[in-house]
Amino acid sequence: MSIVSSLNALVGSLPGFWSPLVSALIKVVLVLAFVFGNEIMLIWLERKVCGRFQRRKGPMYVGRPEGWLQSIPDVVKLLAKEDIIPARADRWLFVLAPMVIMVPAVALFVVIPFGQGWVPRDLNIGLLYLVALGSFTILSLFMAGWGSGNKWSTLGAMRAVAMLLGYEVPLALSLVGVAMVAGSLSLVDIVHAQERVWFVALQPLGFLVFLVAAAAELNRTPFDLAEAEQELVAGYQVEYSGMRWAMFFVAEYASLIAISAIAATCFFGGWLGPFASGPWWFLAKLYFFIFFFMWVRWTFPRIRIDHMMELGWKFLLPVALLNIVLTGIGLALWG
Amino acid sequence: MAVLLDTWKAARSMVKGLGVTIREFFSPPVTVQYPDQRPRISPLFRGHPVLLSDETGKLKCTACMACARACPVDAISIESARGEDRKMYPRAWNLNMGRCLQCNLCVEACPFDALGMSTRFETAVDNPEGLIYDLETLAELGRTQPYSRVTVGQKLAGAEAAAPAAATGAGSREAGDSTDATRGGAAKEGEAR
Repeated sequence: MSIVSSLNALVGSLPGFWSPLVSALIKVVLVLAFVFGNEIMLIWLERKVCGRFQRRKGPMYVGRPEGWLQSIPDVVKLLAKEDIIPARADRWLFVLAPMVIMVPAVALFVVIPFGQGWVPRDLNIGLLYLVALGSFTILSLFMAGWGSGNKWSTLGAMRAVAMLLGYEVPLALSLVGVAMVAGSLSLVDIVHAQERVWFVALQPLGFLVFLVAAAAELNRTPFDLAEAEQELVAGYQVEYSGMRWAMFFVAEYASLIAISAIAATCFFGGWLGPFASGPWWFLAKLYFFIFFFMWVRWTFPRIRIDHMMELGWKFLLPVALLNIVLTGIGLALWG
Repeated sequence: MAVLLDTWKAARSMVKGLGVTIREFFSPPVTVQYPDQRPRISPLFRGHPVLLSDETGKLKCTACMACARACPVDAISIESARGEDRKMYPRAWNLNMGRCLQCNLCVEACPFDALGMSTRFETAVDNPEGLIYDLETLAELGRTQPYSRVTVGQKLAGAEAAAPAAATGAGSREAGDSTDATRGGAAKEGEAR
């Protein structure tokens, strides 16, 4: 806490327009360090967790014990690969897509409160911002799919867009219940509202809808319809290789961290804990959700596209609406 | 109501599925870190044939050619000779590992129990010439390394007594199968090569 306040005082003492600029820069660096630091960790963790679910050991040799340096050769390998742009690709779309996808993936962290006062910027429309940015990812996926000039890519991109319509609405509606109970869209206020009881207890239905819709937003198995290697080769990623492909990969992991952070913040009380509240609680919950999403990934097979639509429109949406109605009644009676 | 029931069923099966995977997660991995860690080789492992010797260290083989005839892929070539004691012995007994199927038919065919199947499994070489195992090599392997002798349809008096010593593989085999000798079983299996 004292580090943050002294840093604030130091930055505040800077003259004129330098003060907000330097403060923003420091935050950008810290957020990027957090995202990419965790990401490097996740590349290794995913392989280890996947291995254990299949009763293997995963990487063991690069960095003993347990191959903890495995991510470094992984990254070096990707960097060393040839950069291929297909002749029939739409050059601009193809090149821009991997850059565009990084924006929402990293920008999601702007409103995430890591701890008491540890929030890059406490927007009063935090939840709205998250939902809006989350659906922004689809722009890049469609750019990539369309720009590749490949039928598998286009099919993957179209699936991604169709899926977005299916899960984004229930996802937004499941968070409405949280906003209603907290009486605010700011994530900091939402965490403070959970001081007595975590919202997972007040919003169990909303939490379940959020969990399913969020898993879909991650584009990971069982909702990896847009990639679907067995049907679409790799969907919108077919033509990407080396570092360009790696950026999609990085963005996917960044959204995994972001979605887990949102789940921890909105439903599990963010940095609040039964004792010694602080960023470590936030981190523990974050990794709990990351593990949960990995667990889900290595448990369920891919859902079919029409089943996905059905799940989103015919099941999640009504349940999310029901949750809002129940929350409204609950607030009217006991609020 | 049907929707609610379906939902309940789906939710239950999903939780069950998650339970199955998390159990796997917390079970010990089955991976053998191979070059660092040696795999456990069953004493009934059937590798390539090796030449067995009697107690005095003399080869049991009489160069009768039964194995060479039984071999479906002509992997065995034998040169016979008559010794000073008027008994036949193999002057050369070459096994071509490039051809050998490790099918056990030579062991089945041998009337003198002079062959066994080695439990070696690392037979890769960097030169095709290394695939030809000569008499000295095979005799040495038969004397010093573990091997298995499992023949089909052979009734042995000591089969029941031998079964527990011959590890789990013998128990699960069909009734007609029996285990002859499995020399250097559990004690040597770890270092089998």
